[in-house]
Amino acid sequence: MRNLSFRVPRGGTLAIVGESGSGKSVTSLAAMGLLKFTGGRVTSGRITLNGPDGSTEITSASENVLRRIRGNRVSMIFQEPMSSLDPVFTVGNQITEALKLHRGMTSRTAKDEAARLLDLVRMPNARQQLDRYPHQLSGGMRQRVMIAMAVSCRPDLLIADEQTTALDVTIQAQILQIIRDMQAEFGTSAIFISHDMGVVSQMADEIVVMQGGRMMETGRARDVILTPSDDYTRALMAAVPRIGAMTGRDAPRPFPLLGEEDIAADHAVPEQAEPLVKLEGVTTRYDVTSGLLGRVTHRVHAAEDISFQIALGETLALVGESGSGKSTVGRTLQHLVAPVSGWILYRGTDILSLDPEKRARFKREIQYVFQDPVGSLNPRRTVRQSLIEPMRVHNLLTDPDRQVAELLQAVNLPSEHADRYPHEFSDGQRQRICIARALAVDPGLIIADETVSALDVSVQAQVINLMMRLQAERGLAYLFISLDMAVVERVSHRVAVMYLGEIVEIGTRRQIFENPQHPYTKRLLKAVPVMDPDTRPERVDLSGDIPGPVRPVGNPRRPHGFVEIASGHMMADDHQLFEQEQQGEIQA
Amino acid sequence: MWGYLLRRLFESALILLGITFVTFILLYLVPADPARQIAGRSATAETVANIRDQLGLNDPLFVQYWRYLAGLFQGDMGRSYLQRAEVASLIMARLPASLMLMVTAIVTELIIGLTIGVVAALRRNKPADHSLMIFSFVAISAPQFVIGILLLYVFAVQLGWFPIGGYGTWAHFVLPSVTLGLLGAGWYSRMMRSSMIEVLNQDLVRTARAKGLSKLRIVTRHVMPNAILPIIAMIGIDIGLFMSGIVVVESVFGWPGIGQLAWQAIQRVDIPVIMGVTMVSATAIVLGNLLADLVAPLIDPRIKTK
Repeated sequence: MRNLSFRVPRGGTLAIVGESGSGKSVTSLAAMGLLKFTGGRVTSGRITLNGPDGSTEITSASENVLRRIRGNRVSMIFQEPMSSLDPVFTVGNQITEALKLHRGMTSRTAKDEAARLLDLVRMPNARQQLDRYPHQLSGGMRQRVMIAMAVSCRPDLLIADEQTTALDVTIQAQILQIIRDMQAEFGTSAIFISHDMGVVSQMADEIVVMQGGRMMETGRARDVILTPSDDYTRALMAAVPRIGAMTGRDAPRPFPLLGEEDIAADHAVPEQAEPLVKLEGVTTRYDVTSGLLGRVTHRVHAAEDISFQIALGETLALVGESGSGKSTVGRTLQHLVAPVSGWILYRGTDILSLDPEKRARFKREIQYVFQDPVGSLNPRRTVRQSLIEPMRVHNLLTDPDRQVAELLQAVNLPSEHADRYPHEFSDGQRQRICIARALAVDPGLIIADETVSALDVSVQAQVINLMMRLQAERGLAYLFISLDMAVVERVSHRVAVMYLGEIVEIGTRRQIFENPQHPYTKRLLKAVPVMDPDTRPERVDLSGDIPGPVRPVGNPRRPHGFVEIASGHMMADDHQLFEQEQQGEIQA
Repeated sequence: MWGYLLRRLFESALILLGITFVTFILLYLVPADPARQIAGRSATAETVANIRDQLGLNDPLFVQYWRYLAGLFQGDMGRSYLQRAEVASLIMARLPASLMLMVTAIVTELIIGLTIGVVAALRRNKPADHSLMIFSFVAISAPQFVIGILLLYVFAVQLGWFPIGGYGTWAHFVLPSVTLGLLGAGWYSRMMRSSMIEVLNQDLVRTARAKGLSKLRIVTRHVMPNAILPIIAMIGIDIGLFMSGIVVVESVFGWPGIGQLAWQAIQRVDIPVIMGVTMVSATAIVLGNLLADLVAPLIDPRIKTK
């Protein structure tokens, strides 16, 4: 990282944005004087902290001085609340630790203060939560604990490093609201480190854009977002999926990336007689056993009565938050798990009733691309070996060299790279390899399970454009599983919203995004941070967590009907039930 | 919790039952004839046959096994062929010495092993780390009888700090427990080192630093409790290692424990004694593992007893 300078005004918020490897997190560690623990060093320049009792130079301060600052005058919130909290100590223990250290409290007063802090971050039953362990809390609740810990000593500066990246959108909205409230309560300045332009636009007064360790642009948030002056910033902004950007369009459309403007045309679904895949009443449940004899006491209602269809060349997006059963539907479709009931028709054939041999052919037709390209590629196999294996299994191998070259070409990778290993590629390239591997067996349907969620925005835009081009060229159908509403709006023809294992609303993209009917869909859309510096977000309801899909045996979710809003736009008729669940009145 | 304990005890009993069967069959297949051993070389064939008859060695295998098992349930492990005493009383007379040795050896190996592991992890890739890891490598590779004799020579014969052998005072414990514990100390130091390094790289340490905690507090309060979790399960397995080590160590130091008893019994095909010692060590191993599994959830709240 080189030659970075910025100042955070008292009570104000500065955001540092950039993609992986840009030096965002290094900046935050430097501000805490923590860089030396990661093997780094500030070679030149100064970091100064001005407080009511004089200013401190962090870069030259001794470790003893720094320890009094850390957690006290400057504190941090990290991305992964599970791994950032100590699993073997109670939440209360971890909050009181800093209180006792910096504010000299006794155990008893520190405990009272910790309960008050948890109450402040709207933790339900704050006092009881003190004795719980991190693994007993949900992701959103853990992040609340982190925030309570960070503000416990009323810091002058709060550094939030990708603090909501791992959270669901509705939970993210709550956490952002809580941080805003804390800033107002304690007059704290903040540095937000994020790759999510929506979050940044909602929170920041000023923005620093970084790339490859350099500062590319800095200025007032509004100016940087609306009228970026630097080329990199402009490219970055163009790649950010913006919700609402597709309003009024029927068909999805690739991102207008630099050099790819010519392909930014609508992608309509070709007319056809019958759908490629049709699911009817598919239900998948997992048993939860307990007790001496392993009796089934609970069931995870992962997917309940799922019905939808996808045509050739069409993208159906499955959206919902964690535990909503999106991935289960994908896994059921590819027979990674067997459904309890329901039919899956592929080109008119009921594939669940086929014998295993015939079913193998249909497994070829439905391919999967996962979220984590590192974990889904064998690190000890070259790209060529990874691509050839599925073709060999399905007897499709005729001319390996030519086939591998064609596949790599299809995903815009040079065919010379066929003999490299996965670690020699970037994340985006690895994801392209995964897509190539799925294409290797010439499938009809690709299940893209959070395929682009872990990628940087510019890479994400490229991979999405690639997927859309492949769809147009090969007539692929996609089941696009995602929780990023802005990306979904960009890529999908139709959208199904899932909640607690059920589809609560399904319709064309315009119907769902422009005329959402179900309260959950509305809430989901409202929670998405919008990249528009002129609108400050509405206050969100801070209570409530996402209910879980685990239910006692013989106690399914109350059945309900569906209402048709418009042609092809269906919604679950369960509003009353939904409200009760949200208020915690119905416990599964 | 109680249901879990009950189930685990039931499982343990099943395992022990399996062990009685396997060892019984194995010893039955041994070609040496215990009756001949008891009678001595000069005995007539008739005497040997009489002894065989007396001991019930002519009964079918399953009758013998059943007799043994029925006795076992009443606390009767049979009589030694050679020592004219109940196996149970032979073992009970020697068990305390062995158990005491095991406890001191576990304490020794934990103190040595964990200390080395922690220091090596904190000084990773520095000279202190390298020399400590060489030490642990030697401790793992050196045969126990060599270490035992070496320690005896240096500290008992040359320096005269500790008695040369026998049992009685605390001074008698030092050399045998170090000999027995050194192997485990080598293993634990390596495990603790890598476990510490893993935890040191976790986000929770960054959080602790960001809180402004001192290095000492971070290591003792956050890193060590997390690092020690995988070690706990090992202690249970370790008791099995001790059982084999104890035979060697007790011989070297003339320790009056069940290791020596087993060694003598094996040499003279004293089947009831061999069976008895095997059962006692198997029980110790099974209980050790059970104990480790019961302690683990107390230290790691994420482990639930089901």
